[in-house]
Amino acid sequence: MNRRQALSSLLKTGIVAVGAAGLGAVTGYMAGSSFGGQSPQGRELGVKPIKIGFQVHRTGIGAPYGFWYERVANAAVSYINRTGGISGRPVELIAEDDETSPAKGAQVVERLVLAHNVDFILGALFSDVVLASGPRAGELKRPYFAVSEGTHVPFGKLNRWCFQPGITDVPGQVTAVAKWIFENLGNRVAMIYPDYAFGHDHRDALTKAAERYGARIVEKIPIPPGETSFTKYFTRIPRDVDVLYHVMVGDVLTFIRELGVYLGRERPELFGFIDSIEAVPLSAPGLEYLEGTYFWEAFPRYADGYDTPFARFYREAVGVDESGADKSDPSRVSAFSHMFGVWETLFAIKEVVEQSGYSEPTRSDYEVFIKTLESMDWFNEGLWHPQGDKLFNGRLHQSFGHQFISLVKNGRLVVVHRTEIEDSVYEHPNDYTKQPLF
Amino acid sequence: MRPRPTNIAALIIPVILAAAYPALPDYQKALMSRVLILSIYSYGYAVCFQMIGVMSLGHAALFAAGMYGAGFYAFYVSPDPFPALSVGVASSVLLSMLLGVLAMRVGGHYLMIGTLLASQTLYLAALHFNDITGGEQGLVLRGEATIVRALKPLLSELDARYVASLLALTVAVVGITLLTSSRLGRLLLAVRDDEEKLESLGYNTSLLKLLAFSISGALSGASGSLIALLYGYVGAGYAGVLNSVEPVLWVLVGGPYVEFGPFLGCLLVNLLADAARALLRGHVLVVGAGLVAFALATGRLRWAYQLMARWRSRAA
Repeated sequence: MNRRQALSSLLKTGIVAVGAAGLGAVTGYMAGSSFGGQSPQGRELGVKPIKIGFQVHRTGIGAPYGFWYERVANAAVSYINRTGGISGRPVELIAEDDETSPAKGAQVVERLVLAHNVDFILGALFSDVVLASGPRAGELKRPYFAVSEGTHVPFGKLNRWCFQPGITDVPGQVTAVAKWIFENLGNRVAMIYPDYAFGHDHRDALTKAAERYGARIVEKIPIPPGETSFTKYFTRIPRDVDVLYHVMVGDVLTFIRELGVYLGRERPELFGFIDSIEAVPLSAPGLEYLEGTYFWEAFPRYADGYDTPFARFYREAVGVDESGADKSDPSRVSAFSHMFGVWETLFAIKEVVEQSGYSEPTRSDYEVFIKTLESMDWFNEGLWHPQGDKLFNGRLHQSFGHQFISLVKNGRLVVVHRTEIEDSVYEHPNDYTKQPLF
Repeated sequence: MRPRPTNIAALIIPVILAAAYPALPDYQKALMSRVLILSIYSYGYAVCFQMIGVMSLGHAALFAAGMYGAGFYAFYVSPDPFPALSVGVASSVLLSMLLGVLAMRVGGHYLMIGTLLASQTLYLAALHFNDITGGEQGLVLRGEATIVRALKPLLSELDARYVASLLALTVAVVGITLLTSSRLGRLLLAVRDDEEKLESLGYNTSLLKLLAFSISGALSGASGSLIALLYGYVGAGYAGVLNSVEPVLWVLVGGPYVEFGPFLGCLLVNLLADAARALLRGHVLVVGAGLVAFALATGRLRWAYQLMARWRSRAA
């Protein structure tokens, strides 16, 4: 046998080996994937659990939020199970990582429905993941609950199976705080925001609110994604504005430090969205410049900001201390203004399951479930909704709640105002109830 | 002509996939549809990487061009998926020709950086013009715009997606086997092996590279268009750098046979990722570790192959 023949026979052996290995791996994987089975709690009680699938950002850019979303979901489910479950049935939470990616998110929805046959899906935070997942949920006919504050649900970009009952969306938040900003800080505003859809939602909502309240947005400064230095954009801030509105432009520590160097003491009032410093301790180096500036919060990070028995109970249940950090690791600050949405969404599901008598993932049960949810118009404040009461719009599938405005004082956030629910409400022609369910 | 074993192996793939379908559980049906479409992208990458030996780090741009081409047509012009598919493929072929021109001018590391920058440009443009593109959040296509809805009277959603993706993959596989067995295919391999020699023989290697880039673009764009038209979502996430790197991985894992390697690699990587997701919390870590182990193992294998070949030839 010469070298050439040897090589070609090797090639063939190689092909067969690779092919066999591949086939073996595939067969093994397919054969090994039997799903189902009840949770231990379910077996103990002899009742079939209600399965809630959970699409969570365990890895990827959303991971700091995902960590807290998962902590809150587990806390809520454990509380629900300790207090009788949903309709007397225990809840089984099936969490899967979506890598904060739209492609993987859609795949996770398929997995949760087709492999685990979950009753409901607790959805994601990042809007791209929600937008890619919603159509999958609509096609597979499983209710999908976003906790995202994006405009995808209320603006009708998704479908009748997608809801956002646990958190106010960005236009609602901005509309609510804009009124306070214009009345208290001044009505000549410059805004600085990331140059992608999230930032544009802020730009559009603030511009609309300015028209409504007779204020002026004198300069709009978009920052391209991935920017690492911001000073060159600051030259566009007019000297005579009353307020500089900023949100999530990238590395917040650099942004604030450079802003401090550029503006110095003679600065306009600063109003920011907590998203920029969510999960970041205020004691981080460079953030001293934020002293005396204002932030929107959905749920105050510091316990005295909104001290009700319900808020205290919730804080205890999710293991967060008085200043919004992890009880077991005070250097780990929570995503307090977003993660309550997970808690409230799970209880909204509980409420609607119990009212509608939902029991099985069947056409008729889902029909009753969705129509019941769409007919809800209010969630009462309580252990189930510790952030406050909420108005629910069944046409938009969206909740509207109170917002908080906090001042940074002595290195902590101090609530100065709580908006009314009506301040968040806006009009939109979308009507999901006109879409066919099946 | 004697059929080559690699071609037979490649052509068996669609047959196995069709035969296995009824036996698959529902989730695996859905998962496999996704893998089949992505493996068309893997083939597209392999045409560049394995046939003409050009390593691009910007193929996500071609994938996204197909996705946006098809998506825009379906979203803004008419919700008819089949013309949308051709618009998608056409737009990625156009873009790939532009990239191809770049590839003719520069080579090696310059090309990698050049393609990377080109794809980042497209990505940032998609973010910036989000009034049209939907930016990082993306656009959701109406149901009528999807291939699934077009096939709805005949097939369930799950089946429709699988049938459509299997059909597309079959076309790609047949195309690739025809290409590799053809004179053109051999010329492309010659570009990879010794471009100067080929040139001195009077061949226009620039044209050959451009052609390979267009074929690569057509396949990548078809994959992107199908993702848009089967799943009804278009977003900038697909234009990101990660989506350029994934096909490199698939093709590397798949091994040297361009007829079936890209499919096998894509399948193995995706199934490994999915299995790890089911088993473990930190599945990304597991996938990474698995791939490093795999890379090390193939290195060892090559060494073993060489040793065996030497031993055999001596024995002969």
